[in-house]
Amino acid sequence: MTQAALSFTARLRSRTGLGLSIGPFTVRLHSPIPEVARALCILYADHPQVEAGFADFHIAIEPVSGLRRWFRPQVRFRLDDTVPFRPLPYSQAYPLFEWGLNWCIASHAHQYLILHAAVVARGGRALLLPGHPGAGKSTLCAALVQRGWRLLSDELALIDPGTLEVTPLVRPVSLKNDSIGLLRDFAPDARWGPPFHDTAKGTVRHLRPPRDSVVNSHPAMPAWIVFPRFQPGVARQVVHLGKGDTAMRLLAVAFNDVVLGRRAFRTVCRLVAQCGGWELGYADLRAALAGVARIVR
Amino acid sequence: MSPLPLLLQVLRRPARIAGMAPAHWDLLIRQARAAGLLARLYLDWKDADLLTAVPAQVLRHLESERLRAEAYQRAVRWEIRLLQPVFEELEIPLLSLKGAAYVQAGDAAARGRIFNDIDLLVPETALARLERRLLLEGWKPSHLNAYDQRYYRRWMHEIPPLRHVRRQAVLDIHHTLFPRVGRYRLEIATFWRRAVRLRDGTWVLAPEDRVLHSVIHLFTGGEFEHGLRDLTDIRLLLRQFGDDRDFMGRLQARAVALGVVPLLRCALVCSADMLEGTEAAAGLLESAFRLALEPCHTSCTRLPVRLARGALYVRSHWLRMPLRLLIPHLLHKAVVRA
Repeated sequence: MTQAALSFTARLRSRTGLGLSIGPFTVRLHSPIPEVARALCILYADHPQVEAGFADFHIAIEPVSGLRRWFRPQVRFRLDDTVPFRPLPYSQAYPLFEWGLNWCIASHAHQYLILHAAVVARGGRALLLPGHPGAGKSTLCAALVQRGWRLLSDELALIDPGTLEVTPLVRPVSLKNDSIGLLRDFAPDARWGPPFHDTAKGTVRHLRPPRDSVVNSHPAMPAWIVFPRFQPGVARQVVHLGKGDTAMRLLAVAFNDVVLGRRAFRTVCRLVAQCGGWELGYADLRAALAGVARIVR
Repeated sequence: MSPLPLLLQVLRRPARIAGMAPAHWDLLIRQARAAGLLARLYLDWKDADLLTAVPAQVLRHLESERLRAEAYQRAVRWEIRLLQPVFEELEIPLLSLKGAAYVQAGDAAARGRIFNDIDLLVPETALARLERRLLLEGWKPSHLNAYDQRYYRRWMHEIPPLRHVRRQAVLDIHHTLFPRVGRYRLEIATFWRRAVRLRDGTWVLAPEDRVLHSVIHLFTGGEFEHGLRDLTDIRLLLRQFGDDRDFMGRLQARAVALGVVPLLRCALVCSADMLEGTEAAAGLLESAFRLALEPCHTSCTRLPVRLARGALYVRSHWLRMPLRLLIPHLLHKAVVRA
């Protein structure tokens, strides 16, 4: 184990845990699991570490005790005193952290309108890539980031209902199954975390976010809304969407529209008024990037 | 002397938050979240002009919870609006209890409250046809295993909580306010006679009964996850109705009539002690609740608190079930938990 990994391991096991600054949130993380330390060490190497103080989320990734320790061991996600989900197999300890953190943010950050979307930016202008799981937003996001776009988020778009700006939440980009191969071919020099097999989503692997995206992180104003649709074997398709259609699709991928009620609806309407909406069907990444280039020109 | 949990210190004296260190803010928010009091704290501090003392990073959590509380209030009002035509068709009065009642009646206790279930009271004779009709509206019994169903229906004489298949709201339908086989005999007819009709045609219990129902529920109960919050509900109700000079007299009289004076005393003592820091003579029951109602968080579960909760858990079952049902039930629960 490297020096850095040892340091991560030590902090994760300490009483105060490992403090990480992730987007606008301070996360204190505890875990005795070595694989979690190793993955964090690679994927969060550039994120600022924070000493004890106020933390937004106190998270523990811990083995499930009792008989389960020896027969098909499991891990569970703990947010302070509560265990919100069922345990997962021990081998999926690190993805459990990422999925759990998504849930924490989506459930406790209602000061934002939270959309299921990747967000990248160029200059101060943001490209939103909303979609349901499997649509191909993380794949396209990862490719754009490898070609110079700044990463703001790969999963949760945090939209300020007042200013409409997207607040960055820079984290590793999570890719599944075929996407992993696609990105390896597309960007052979990219840094990856370890692979995790047999998860509910298949094989999962994380791309380390570019250092620049982490260190020079600042909000961006949405200018384009593109709904990716990954369709193997089909020719690239760029379809311009009407305002109403775009608005309805955005609401469909909002996590907390019910909590925000009218405010969510108004925010979406204002977003749609200032941004164009498109659907981008793609089968290979180069074609997808060309499609994006056409849209943002 | 054991230190008072930070959350209780702040509830007693809100000004305490001025200049508080980040580590203490961290602890306070965690305790308050576990107690379900974040939104309520936000609103109290807003009224007291204390929000400027809250650091921005902390304030976001409070505002987020306030939004969630507002969303729950909307949801409760919406669900009741959807249920009204159904109840009208069946000619059953729609009487809301507890949290739903606070919202319907516009009580102060609705402030910053997160709701789990919508509790309703219906006449016992209406239960069967109501359950059948609600099934057609998409309300399905949520505890599906055979033991739990039997527990509710045969032994507690209730229908299990109903969950809506699409909207995920939960409806808890009661026909008594305390198990009929239990040790407190509450004649339900008196509650119906005193019930108040609201402007929208739905019903709530009379003010004294709303307070006493909350008192009885908390001080015969054995689950304390929302105990401190329920205690603040009671204090808010007492403050709201206390404007009426005769209210306390009527409350006492009603408590005597129902035979629940010890429970009311317990509520008043605990509220004065925990929420206001006023010394009050405390008997055994009051002392036990004084411990059990502390926030349910790992930072403040010392041994006396856990013992008090354990004892009150057993007492709660003893109050609600005769021994011949209690022993098998506790055995079953112990086995299932293991």
